[in-house]
Amino acid sequence: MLNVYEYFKKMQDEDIILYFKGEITDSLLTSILQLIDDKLEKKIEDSKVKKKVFSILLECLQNIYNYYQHQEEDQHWNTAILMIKKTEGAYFVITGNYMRNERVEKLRSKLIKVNNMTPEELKEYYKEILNANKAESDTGGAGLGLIDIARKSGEKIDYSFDVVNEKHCFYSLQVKVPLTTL
Amino acid sequence: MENIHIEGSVRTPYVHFDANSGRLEVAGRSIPENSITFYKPLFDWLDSYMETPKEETTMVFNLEYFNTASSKCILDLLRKLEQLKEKHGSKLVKVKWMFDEGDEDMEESGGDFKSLINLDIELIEKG
Repeated sequence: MLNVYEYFKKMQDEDIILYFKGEITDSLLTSILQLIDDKLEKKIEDSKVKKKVFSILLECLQNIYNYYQHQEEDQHWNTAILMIKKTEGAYFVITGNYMRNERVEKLRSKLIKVNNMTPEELKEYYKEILNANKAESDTGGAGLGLIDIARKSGEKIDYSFDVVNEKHCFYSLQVKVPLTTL
Repeated sequence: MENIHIEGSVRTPYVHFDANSGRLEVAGRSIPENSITFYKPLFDWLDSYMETPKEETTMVFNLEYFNTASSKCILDLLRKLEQLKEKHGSKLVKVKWMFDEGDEDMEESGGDFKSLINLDIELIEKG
């Protein structure tokens, strides 16, 4: 059988606070948020860090969920992974989900754009997008999510796209929440 | 007109819009599944209130978290208040943006709205 103890130790050593794999539905999103809220409360004394981690996680999950809204019937492609990890100087919010290859370029260019911006530029860009369209005209944050994540993290967003087949790839995202700058 | 009173939940804020006192409050968390569905009644209420507003209208935001989808709705609430002020120049419109001590992200969010909206928005750090 699987060596559970080894598995447990590995997660313990890496200080993985939360690990989830499965389909992200909206009701699950609520449960995960409650769980994390509770876990972070115990783990993080500093409420500022907790809020940052929580907000970033929230936008990450909503990003994934938004992708799913216009996706597959085959549930296999709706499986995602979510992790919160702690290291010496930072928390990490890590997510991974499948997406359609044809949507990659748009997302990649957005990530490149956001990663090349200074905090001041991110602030202006956020306000520009926020001010541009009325709330009634869209369901999600209309692309505010990544900008918000970048602003709150204050670090470059790590990402990768792994090719799965001719239709799909796996999109991984890692967001750092440093403890030092807080 | 009737007041709006909504208790807060894990994903949605406490809302109290009082037509008699002109005090409007949104507090707690705003991370609803569908932000438009949640905020639409508040927009409609403000449209009616705007017809005959009180001498003084005070909007208080006392939020712990809000997602980016809600930020659009918050901006739209503020836009309605901006309209109210344009329509009734003699009436007072105040906005209070509360944030927890040291919560720079929430303070900055308040600053973002302040720079986009032509209203007296006071950023208040809670002690």
